[in-house]
Amino acid sequence: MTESSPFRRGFMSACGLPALVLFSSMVGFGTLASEASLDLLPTIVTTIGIWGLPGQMVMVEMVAFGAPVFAIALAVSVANARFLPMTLAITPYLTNWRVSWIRRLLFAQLVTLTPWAMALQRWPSMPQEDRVPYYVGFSMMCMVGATAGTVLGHELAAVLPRPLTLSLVFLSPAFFAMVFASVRQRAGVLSLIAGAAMGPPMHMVSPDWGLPLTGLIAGSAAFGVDAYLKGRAA
Amino acid sequence: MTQDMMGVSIWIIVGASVAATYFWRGLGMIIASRLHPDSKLSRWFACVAYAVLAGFIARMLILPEGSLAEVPLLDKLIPVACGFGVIFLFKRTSETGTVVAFLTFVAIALWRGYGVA
Repeated sequence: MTESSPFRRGFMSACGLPALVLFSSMVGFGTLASEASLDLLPTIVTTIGIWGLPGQMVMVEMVAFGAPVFAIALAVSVANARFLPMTLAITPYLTNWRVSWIRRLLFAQLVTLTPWAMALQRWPSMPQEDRVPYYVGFSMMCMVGATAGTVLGHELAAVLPRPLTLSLVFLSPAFFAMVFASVRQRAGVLSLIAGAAMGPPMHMVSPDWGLPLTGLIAGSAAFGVDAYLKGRAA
Repeated sequence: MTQDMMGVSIWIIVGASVAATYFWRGLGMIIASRLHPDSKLSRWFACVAYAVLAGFIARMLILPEGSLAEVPLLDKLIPVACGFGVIFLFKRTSETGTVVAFLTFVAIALWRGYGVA
């Protein structure tokens, strides 16, 4: 392996806050899963397989209620529907990636918040051929952190002191708030402000549809305003 | 429910949940694979994704739900404001902002003694 293959650079760059964020958020998930009396192995498979915390939480909560399989799958799907616009947003950067559909579809499994936010920031200035290996390396390190967190939360649920577990839960939303505060491109900034303002009230109106509607309305409004300002500047 | 049935059905539940989540990723990959990143459509997708995620993070921080439900609103907003302050006023990176927000939260959590009293 060359000294700095894109895979290795991606892996190393996640070896810090990104992996720690995955670790900390999965501690809470592991704890919840052990309280719902899920065994360790299905809990780990859920983390890697679903690879999106809100859906994982919904699954475990509904398993605890003893809900039917179909209802669980539907609720998990709704909770993770943000993966559609997220995948739509980064896939165009792979237009010139000449590989089979199977590899494209396998790659899609790795779309989740932490590496996705990294991709939107770093992919545009990265050579096309480096993007996927960098992303895969980054994701592998994130999975190491997530698995470690899942195991720790599952096995040590009762032992961890409360201020520590709460701080670990807080790390993930704080990290993303800071990552998004570093976005400088105008359309992105407008979308983030509009989404943050609309998200909580819309969620109170409709817990199921509040978030998708926030995305569509706030995102489209921001896109429209940005296009209008561009038009005036031209 | 017997132990055995529980053992089999949990794998069916996990499998169905994994597939139900993957559906969105696969669909996104199929729809957007021929798009150019500078096209209007893909810039709109990015706006929608940013808005969804901002709404999602704001919900986690502002609404009393999930594991942070017991934490008062101010105890979450003050650390976030400190992080933003470091980023916007002192021009530091998002990593520094995260560390500042996290440590502020830890300090408040210890001071309040959540779950201890």
